[in-house]
Amino acid sequence: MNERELQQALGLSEPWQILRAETDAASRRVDVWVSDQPANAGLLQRLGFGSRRPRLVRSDGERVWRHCNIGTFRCFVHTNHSPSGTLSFLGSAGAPFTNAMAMQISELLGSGASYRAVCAVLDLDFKDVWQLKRVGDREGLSVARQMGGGEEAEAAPTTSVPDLADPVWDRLVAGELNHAVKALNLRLLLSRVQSQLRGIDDKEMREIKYRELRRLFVNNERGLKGELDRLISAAR
Amino acid sequence: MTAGTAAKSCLMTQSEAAERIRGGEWLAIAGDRQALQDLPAGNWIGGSIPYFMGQDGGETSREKVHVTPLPVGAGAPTLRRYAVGDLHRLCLDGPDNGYTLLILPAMSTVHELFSRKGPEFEDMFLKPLLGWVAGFHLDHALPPVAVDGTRAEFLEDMAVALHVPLPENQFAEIGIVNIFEQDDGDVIRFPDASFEVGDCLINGEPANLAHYLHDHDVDTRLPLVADYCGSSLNVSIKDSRPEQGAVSLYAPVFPDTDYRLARPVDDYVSAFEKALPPEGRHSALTFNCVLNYLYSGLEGRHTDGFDGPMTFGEVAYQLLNQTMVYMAVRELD
Repeated sequence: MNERELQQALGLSEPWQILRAETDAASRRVDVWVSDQPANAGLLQRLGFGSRRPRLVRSDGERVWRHCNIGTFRCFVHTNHSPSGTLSFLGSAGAPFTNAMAMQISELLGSGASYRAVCAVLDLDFKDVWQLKRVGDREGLSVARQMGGGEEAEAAPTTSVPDLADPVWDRLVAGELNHAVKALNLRLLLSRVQSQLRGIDDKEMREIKYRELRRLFVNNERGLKGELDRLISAAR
Repeated sequence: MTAGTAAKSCLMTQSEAAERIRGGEWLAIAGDRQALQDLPAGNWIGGSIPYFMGQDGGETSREKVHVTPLPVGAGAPTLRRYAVGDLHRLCLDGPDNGYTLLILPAMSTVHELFSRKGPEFEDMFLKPLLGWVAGFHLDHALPPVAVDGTRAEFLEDMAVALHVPLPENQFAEIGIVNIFEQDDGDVIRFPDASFEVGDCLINGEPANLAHYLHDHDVDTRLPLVADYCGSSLNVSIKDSRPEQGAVSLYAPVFPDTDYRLARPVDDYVSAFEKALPPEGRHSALTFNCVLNYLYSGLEGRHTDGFDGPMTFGEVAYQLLNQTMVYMAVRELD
């Protein structure tokens, strides 16, 4: 892909141009620096899929948003330009995604896909999609309503697994019952949920994560019998 | 109660393996790419690797193959291929009761994607998932392949998975044996999920991992270890390049996770045998890591209770390094 083709793929038009691009084939990631100001002579580098590691530390004033994927590569747009709510290849202030990517996510969620499916299909981090939802909540955008509607249905009522309102889930996520957890799948999911909820009090997000944990118990009542017994006993 | 398996897994010649395939049972086969090439199509899933723990101990062979009969019993298993575009469906496709055996070619796009994003796949952790990363002989590098044995086709950039349903009175249980644990040293955190790292936080202060490893003269055969609610999970170091401030890893590190370097282990074999739980001995399906084989000098030595391929990465729900993975099939009392 040459520079002009990449520019078109990203949705850039005059006076916007690409200053430089760095790719990391191992991580399937392309970072693109864009500006509406002319590039300094010699700054423009050849584009191509190399193996250079993108910088993790950004220069002063630089903003970065996750843009729509290019094939199987994740794309990140960097700029010193102010946030924009109208240019597709830039994003709003505080948003993790460009406007084009935010639109793509909203459309998927609006079509009924669960947030987890969207994260998997578009190769997104849960926390970033959640941040988009928070921005949507603040600005009254539809993504907030769509997020809630895409969740999995509740489990069958015949299960002995405590329901979501039970405080045992708070205790489990707080790490108070870690000693009772022996099964590898539960340890891995619980550890992940604990990490994702660290420092987050948002009730809705916690409920989504508790639902994931509960679903694991419901689907593995036989394999998690020991853990379930301890959970039920803690719930009393 | 653990259910028995039809027959024991072992290393064998290609012609013996071909005979087993013609017998019609479902098999998992590991072998050097050339050794797999002449096997007939049939009910098997495979991957390239020439390192094994066989019945006679650790063995490197480009001719023999390791054959494991798979526990089946509630309908026909389904073999599926996955590319980057549909790998996220892997767990959704798994049976409600049973297990999924996954083989990923090392250094492929599916390997990278599964390693980094697997924990976020829909239904991940809900259904038993185990597998391994196919590799090559370190002195005769051929592109690693996963093999769709039903068509005897080699796949360099696709994963193969066998979804195996089990009878209602049985269920699969996945476990790991990791002799490494976190040492008491510095806490390391990374900003991104990646195989390539440099910038990080060490005890909360900005630092560079390559410089840290160099300055502290760290033995890079020791993995980074994270604690997942009591289970230690390793990320092994491929190489460190302090001059570039970069470290390559065999599995990705994840953000919001505390890593420490592993405590050194004196003797792998005795530490392994001590760590191996009863349910891990002679279980239905096992894999171990080629780095354990190489770093611990396992060639010619025997680890009691384990035989199987020594792989370029192990899967127990997510990608692991320097770890033994096993699956036991349990029967309800």
